[in-house]
Amino acid sequence: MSLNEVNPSIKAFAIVISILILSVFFDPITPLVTILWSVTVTFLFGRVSFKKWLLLFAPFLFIAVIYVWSTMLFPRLQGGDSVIWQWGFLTLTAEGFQRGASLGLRVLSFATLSIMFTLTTKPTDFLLSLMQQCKLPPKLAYGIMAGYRFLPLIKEEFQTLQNAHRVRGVARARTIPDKVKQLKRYVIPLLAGAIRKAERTALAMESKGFTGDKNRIFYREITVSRMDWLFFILMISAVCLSAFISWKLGYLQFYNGEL
Amino acid sequence: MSRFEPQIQVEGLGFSYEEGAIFKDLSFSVLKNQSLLLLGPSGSGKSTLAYCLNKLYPEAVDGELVGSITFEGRNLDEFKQGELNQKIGIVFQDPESQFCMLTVEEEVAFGLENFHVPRAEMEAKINHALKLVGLQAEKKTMIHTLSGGQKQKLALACVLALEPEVIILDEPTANLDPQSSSDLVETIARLKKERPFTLIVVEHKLDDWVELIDRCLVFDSNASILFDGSSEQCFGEFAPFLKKEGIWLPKVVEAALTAKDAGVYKGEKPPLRNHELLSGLEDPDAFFKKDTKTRSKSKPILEASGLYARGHLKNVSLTIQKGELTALVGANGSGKTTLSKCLAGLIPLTQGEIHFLGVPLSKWKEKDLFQLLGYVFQNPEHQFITDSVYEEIAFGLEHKSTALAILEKIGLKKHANAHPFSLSQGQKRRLSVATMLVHDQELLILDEPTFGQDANTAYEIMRVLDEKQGAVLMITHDMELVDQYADTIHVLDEGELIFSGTPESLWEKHEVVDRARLKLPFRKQLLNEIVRREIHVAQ
Repeated sequence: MSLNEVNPSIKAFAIVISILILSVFFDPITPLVTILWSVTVTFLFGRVSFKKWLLLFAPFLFIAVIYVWSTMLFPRLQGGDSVIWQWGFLTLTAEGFQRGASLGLRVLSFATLSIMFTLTTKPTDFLLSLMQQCKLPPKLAYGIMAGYRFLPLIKEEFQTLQNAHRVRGVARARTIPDKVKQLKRYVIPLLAGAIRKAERTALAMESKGFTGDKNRIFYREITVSRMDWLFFILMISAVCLSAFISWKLGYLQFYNGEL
Repeated sequence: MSRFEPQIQVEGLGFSYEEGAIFKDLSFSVLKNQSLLLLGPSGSGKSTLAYCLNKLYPEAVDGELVGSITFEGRNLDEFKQGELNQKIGIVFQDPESQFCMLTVEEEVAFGLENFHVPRAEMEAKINHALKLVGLQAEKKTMIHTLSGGQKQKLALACVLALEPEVIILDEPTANLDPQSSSDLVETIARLKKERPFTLIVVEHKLDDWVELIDRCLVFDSNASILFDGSSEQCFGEFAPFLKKEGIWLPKVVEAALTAKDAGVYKGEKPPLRNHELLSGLEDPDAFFKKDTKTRSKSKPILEASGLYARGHLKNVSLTIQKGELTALVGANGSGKTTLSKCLAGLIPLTQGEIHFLGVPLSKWKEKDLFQLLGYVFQNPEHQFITDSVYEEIAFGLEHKSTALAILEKIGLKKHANAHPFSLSQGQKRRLSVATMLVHDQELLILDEPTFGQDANTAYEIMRVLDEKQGAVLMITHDMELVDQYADTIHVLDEGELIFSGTPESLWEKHEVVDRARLKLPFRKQLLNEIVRREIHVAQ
């Protein structure tokens, strides 16, 4: 059993609930244990390339580090805070340190859970599952699917447009008003192109008899099995266990508008 | 239904949309299993008519339809939404925008799902449809990795899986290289023999279709029916008339017309097939000989050596001489556009060197470079940077008065104040070429300048390019243009330059022509046929 085969809707549901539970607490230990758990599960049970994972994780790590820095070094000083270190206007308190760590780890725990989903789920499977298990209207689902195919095309078109304007002798914009003007010049042809493509695709879909009818027979059936629910229960229990460990260690705290 | 009762009956059909009527009061009928060709200048409403026939229009756009269309005796209004699409299938022009799924099998399944085909039967139907078009090996392939020709075959497979009675093809080969085009037409001809169906084709490149088509419906630029009858008649007595309207003709017909004007065609009836043309010509050898023009090649304008780029190009070296018209040809995806953009400095090289007017490309200031080097993109809209046709030409010109003179020359003076996007396809193309001619560039690079143009516009563009001072490099799939205008030709295959030389010497290298999925120009095909015959007679 691999993570890639878990029913996408249930996987998404498990992760959304996990994140909701995590957001109730505000301490460093609960998210830390969850991070360890989700990273372990991702690499043990998912066919995931470490490089891709790192690439997605890096920006979150960056944000987390910045959060931690700023909360640690510019804390809201309250009476009774124990000061660890002081230099000029910078003050580091134990409470500030804990708050910063909680915040950073919280960001990272959300990130690791989301990345676990993204890297083990094919977009098509997710949409098929949403239609089959969650009764998402086919009109919406196939629309998203067609749009997803467009993204690389639009990027390509944007580059062509930039080149075409360079050849015409439109210098690269340097000032902000010039940049706005340039953006305006790109928008019309880009939109015109996108709308035309979308119309063509819509027409092609209709020509194959697509009406948005909800009673579809799907060529690829996305099933729900006991294993999928087992995964769900395991994920939720793991998050609860993290909170329990944190409570045992005496760190557990409910989120109380600390930010 | 009796054999002679029409399968599709159109009566007093009119369609109007936003700016006004696309066509009005059309009446015609189509018999079962007929092969009908819709012909007309671009913008004459052929595609719109095709979409009306299977009820895509007027529902997909806010258009208004008057008159009636019946299919097998039932008015189209009586069909439920989507019901008709199973009976009348359509393949569109643009291979990039007619799919909504990611893999080949999913795409074929999409149509079957829409018609509630039981899951147990789907697999077999998908396999069968893919086998019909020769794509069975690509079942699990991602669609975006397919070639243009394969995509069009997939579109055909999607239609075939539904076992329709009528198949409409809306310029299916417009985006394909010469051999992929012939390939697709052959596939359709074979399918039609195996299991008869009614075929309605909208197409400009007619040569491959002539054998298959039994009836033509010709529209003029106002979308009224000019001619309705057999293809023999259409391309026979009626051909001179079509030529005047700017409608593309099969090359064999075109050649016969020229021969007739020169008084060297003595055949009794106008030809439709090569051998008919040959037997009607007095001296075919002389007729198809090309008078070689010589241009004075003075000095190299651009020299490229050992180019590599983004894994698309492998060790490409070439020289462009002053005064030359150079053609760059090759199959879909062979790297033609990439190479042309590299030469213009628009894509960075990973290795290699380009000298433009003796100076390395990297040493040029962008502003100076593009005064001397022009590039016309495939989609003219990409190059429009102002809000009016006049300003497009006047942009960057020192003497604004010359702008009007140029507009006059390209026939757009009365549109001077119009927004460039509001022009017709042909006008947009003329404008985008003109914006690049105003500076008298030393080198002009064009990516498929005649794509999607009607015959008159295409010739007009080629005439302008032919007269241009300096050098021209042009990407094209049209071997007739290459044969007629190019001095030098470069053939790309999977990023490698496999041939550089004159067109005449390329036509002798059959292995290069085949490998790059090219085709011999009509003239050369016929000359070869003459040789074959002589050998045959001698034996």
